[in-house]
Amino acid sequence: MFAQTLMLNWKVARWPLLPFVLIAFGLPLLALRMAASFTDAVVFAPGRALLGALEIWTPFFPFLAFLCGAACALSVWAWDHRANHVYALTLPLPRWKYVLLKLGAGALLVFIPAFAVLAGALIGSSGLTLPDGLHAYPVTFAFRFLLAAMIAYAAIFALAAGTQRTTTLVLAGLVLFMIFGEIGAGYLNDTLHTLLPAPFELLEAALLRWPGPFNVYGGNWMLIDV
Amino acid sequence: MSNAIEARGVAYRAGKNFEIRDLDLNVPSGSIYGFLGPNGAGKTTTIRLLLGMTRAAGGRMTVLGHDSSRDVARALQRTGYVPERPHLYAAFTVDEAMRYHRAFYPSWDDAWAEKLKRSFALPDDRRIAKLSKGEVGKLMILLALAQRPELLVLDEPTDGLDPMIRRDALSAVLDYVAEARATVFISSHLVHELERICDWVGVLDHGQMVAEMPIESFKNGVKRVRLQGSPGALDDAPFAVLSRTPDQLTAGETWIVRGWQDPMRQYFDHAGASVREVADLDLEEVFVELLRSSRVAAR
Repeated sequence: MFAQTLMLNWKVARWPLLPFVLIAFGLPLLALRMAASFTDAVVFAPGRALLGALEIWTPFFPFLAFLCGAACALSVWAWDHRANHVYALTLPLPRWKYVLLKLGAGALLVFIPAFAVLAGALIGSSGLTLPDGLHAYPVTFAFRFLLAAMIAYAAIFALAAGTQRTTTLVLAGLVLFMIFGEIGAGYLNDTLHTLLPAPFELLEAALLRWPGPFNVYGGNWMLIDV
Repeated sequence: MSNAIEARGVAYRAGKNFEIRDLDLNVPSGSIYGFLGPNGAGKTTTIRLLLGMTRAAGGRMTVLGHDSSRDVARALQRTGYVPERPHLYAAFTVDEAMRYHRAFYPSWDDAWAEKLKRSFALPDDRRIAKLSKGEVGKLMILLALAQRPELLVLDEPTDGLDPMIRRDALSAVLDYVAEARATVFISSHLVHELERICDWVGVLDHGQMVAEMPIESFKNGVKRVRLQGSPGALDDAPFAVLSRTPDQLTAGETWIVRGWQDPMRQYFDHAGASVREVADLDLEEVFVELLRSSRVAAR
């Protein structure tokens, strides 16, 4: 069952995933080449110059990881939605088991862009002469990319697993919570002189700060570091 | 005789315009049960309720002895289903679709699947997205049959297919039923198609069961009776009157009645009329008259 579900996911996700895999391979190469060419001319503190040049590329990688995870999650559910889940619902296994099979088989596909990042990072860093004190971390970098992509995959998979109505309700609920929470917290803080945190801050703290699940997206995504 | 499918007091509502009310259904094991109804009667919804795809608001349903709301996976293990619209993954080729389906059904019969594939002339390596409508229909029937189910649920399986493909598909189903003694629950609005193959019939209209009986009773018990004269009250009629229309030319009436037997002619003698002709109706006419009378009664 798992092998066949993996096969199905591969068939439906490979083309949507292909551009992201190519970018995942090319982006570390491009980042390292651009940074190296920028620092070639630098005589004083070339290490610092290299790190500075690489930092420009930092936001692209978590963004790409998110896109890869989202592309995987949306692709594996796309046909089920189009056929109103009829095939899935008439298969002789409990729904949770079907969802678990689909989740697991889809998660394996997330490894493909992560391997592409690893390959790009390894090739790019192997051809580079690093200034003293700096090291390349292609495996750690690719692992971080994989984690970030997995988090996006899991979150989008959960959202996409429901009906369009459920997804709309969840997202609309979230937006309403943010808008009215923001207004409500502002009003209470003004009138009662309290210090209630705004919903956006609460959400940010819960999701983005350690140990929030999206914490992996923050910080410096440095392929080369001290 | 036990029932392969049983429903008692099933209720379901979708929006303001559609509901299924107090639906009872009995599909005897080993029968070919034709589930008739006009478009929008609720046939597909009933099937979705039976197979656990949609949740009923009330009532109880069992499929092969398993509760549809709690234990549907075990029922589905023994049930082959062909939905109204193609549901297969379009990215798969025919062979890949067969391999995928086989993975979920331990009773899958490889040899028979191959035989069906050859007899349906399905191309191994063509993607489902590239198959014709008829080929997709045949592939869905192949998948349902090759899992060797005890119950086949076919939702308008031949709708929109050309007569050749329709005949091939129905022949394959009938061959299987003859060999495996499976139960078939087939929904359709193509009455003539069901007339040839079914031994039980249920008629659904506006989410309500209008009639459910063996096909022989269905066909033989309903007659068109042409009368000379116009009888008065009907209180003590020994049959059910489905419709009654005046006949301008003969100054008489034409009645459609259910439960007719020949000695009942005497009833009209006492009612001030005489029977000129009693004629059989084909299944389609019976179907139309049943729907007409149930709609008149519902008003």
